Amino acid sequence: MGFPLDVPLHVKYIQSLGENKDDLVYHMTAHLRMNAVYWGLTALCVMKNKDALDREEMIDFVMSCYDEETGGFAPHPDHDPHLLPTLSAIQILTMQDALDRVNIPRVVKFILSLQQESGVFAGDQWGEIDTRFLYCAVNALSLLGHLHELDVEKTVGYITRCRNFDGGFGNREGAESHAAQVFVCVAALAILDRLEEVDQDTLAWWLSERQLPSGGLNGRPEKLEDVCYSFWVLSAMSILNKIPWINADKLTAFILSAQDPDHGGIADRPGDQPDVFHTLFGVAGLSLLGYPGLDDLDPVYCMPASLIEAKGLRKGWSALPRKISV
Amino acid sequence: MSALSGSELSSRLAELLNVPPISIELLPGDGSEWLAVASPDHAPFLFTDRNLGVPQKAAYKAYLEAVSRFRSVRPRLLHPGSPRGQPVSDRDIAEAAASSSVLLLVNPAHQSALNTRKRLVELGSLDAAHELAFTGALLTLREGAKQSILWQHRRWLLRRIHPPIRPPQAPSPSQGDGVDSLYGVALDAGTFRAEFATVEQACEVYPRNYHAWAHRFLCAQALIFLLQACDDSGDTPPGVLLEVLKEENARARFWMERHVSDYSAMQYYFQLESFLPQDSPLRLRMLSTSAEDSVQRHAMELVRAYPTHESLWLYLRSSVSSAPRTDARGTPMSANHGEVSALTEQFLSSSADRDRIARRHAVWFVAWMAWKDKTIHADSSIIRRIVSMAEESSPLMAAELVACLSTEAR
Repeated sequence: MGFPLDVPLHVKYIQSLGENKDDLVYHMTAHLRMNAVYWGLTALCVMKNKDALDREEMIDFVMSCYDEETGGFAPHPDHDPHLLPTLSAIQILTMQDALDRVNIPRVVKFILSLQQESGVFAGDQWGEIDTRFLYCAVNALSLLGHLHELDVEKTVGYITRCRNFDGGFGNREGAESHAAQVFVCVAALAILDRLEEVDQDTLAWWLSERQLPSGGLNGRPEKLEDVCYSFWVLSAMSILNKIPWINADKLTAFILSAQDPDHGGIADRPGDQPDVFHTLFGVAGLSLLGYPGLDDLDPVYCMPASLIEAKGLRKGWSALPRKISV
Repeated sequence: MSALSGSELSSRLAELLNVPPISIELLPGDGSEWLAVASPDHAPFLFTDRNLGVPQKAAYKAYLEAVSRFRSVRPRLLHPGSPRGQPVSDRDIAEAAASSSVLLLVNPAHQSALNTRKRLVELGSLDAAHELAFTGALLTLREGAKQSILWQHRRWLLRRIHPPIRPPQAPSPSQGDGVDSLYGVALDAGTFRAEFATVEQACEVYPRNYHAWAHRFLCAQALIFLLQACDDSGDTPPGVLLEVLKEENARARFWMERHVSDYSAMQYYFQLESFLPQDSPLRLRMLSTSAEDSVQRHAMELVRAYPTHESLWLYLRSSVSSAPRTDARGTPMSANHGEVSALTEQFLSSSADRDRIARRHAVWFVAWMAWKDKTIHADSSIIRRIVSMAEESSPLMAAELVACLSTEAR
């Protein structure tokens, strides 16, 4: 069913995305283009094929999405700026060593302006709040070297209010625990050096229960397994130094079985259509599980570990040791 | 059949979306089988009793057209009327409303289109109540129902339509989580009912709908806040709002019992019950639950009836964790714990194939209870043991299970 990770095939898959600019699909996904570029680039980095996409073209695209008026980045030209694409833009420019193109104080101002009284962040001027946006803010400020400008107590205070009785976190206070929200809250606390706010054993228990008999992980009770949770759950476990609580062999087999052998890319589960989102989180999960031939990934920032370490931002997480062969 | 240009399709579709419809459905292909029997008035679209049917082929053609129209008009709305921007004409407003509606129909995640519509509401060019109805129609689409931005759009509109409650009862800015809530908004009974109904429909269309349940929680929170604010100021809470809360409690419970895999529903119901402790004045006024009807008893009945559902076992866990150890008179309520034990032993001791899944849940339940009681600790080898015992099929007693998990790893 599964086969070893076919890196050249997946690299070709990522390169082929965005080739058909007249496609309906291309237009229907413009609202997430910046995120998609970040997913593609990070996947290539993990697969040690960073140069498979043109660096200058990518940087030009990112800068074409910069909104002079707000200081934020949009997901695509002619779209509105928002924290989600702003983080992706900063991550891309960091990985491409092109942060010098950015007016850092202006971007920092944009990010900080979105913090609410309660400590949470809105995504943009229209006010939707979500712990995901809080993570975007903390991560971006950290990469830009301006984390010291953040009101840490206020920010941490909000995250702790999102902590549920089962140890998990939701997208806002009172919301159901969800693995993706667990990741953003735990990773944000890691960046802020406040992991003591997590009820670590209770949360690790909840995360362990995400593993289904198939070996795949789900995001909430009684939901289907999905490859993207191989990252959301696994990275949280990695930050808590508890990856051994998950059956690594079974999860590895599950991720590998979701590869598309014909067109490349990884899908949410075996047999479904691949996409760049699941391709990234599949290889990211494999990297944390020690799969041979891949580069180390920092689970807090979801970026190459060596780069984060070079910036002095590495936190106390642990991944499984890298195997020499399959 | 599709002799209409993208531009004509886009305009016609926008007109229908502006009625607005009560429900929308995307039909596969070109919709010809439906059109053969339906009225040709709105061809290639179907529009009966305000239910809109849009063939996918027509939708995609209209979408591509709307992309370029939106691209042209969006910048003119960014600074309406300012010296820097161009003045906004009626035509611009019509174009923005039309193109953004088509974009959102096909791609309900198109945030910039939704932002433009907020700008139109702010300008007074789109009526907030009308926009609320349009948003409701988008939420009948499977793709629409799951979009957090649409739920936020509803709250944004509700805050514009309804006034804030007057101080001193108004909440402080640090209460709630920022601007995106309904805290302290004077919503009426009809509005609450409409919101709860919209959420339920969205959860039918897209099960376990995370953002719909989050929205429902925010509405419930707002309702209880309003009732408590009246209480605190010595006023009698309006009977009609109490009725709404009573209905909502009953409806949430009814939904749970018919959706036994829906952990989101159970979590919500549990929260609703937690808002109203047994001795709270509000609950007494609601004249609803008595000790017999406790959450724990409810959970046990459901697990007994549908033991293969993980969600119900988790509901049981919550209820046991929060159950009072003694009743109001200080008498230990051990009887309930005895019943829970009997239930778990029943499934642990079965080796029947049909009970395999129930047995797995029972193993995790017992392990979790032992961990909560600090009888066992948690680490990677204990978890591995739990997983392995959960996958077995040999009969077991709870005491044996706990003993096995308590011994040191070899």
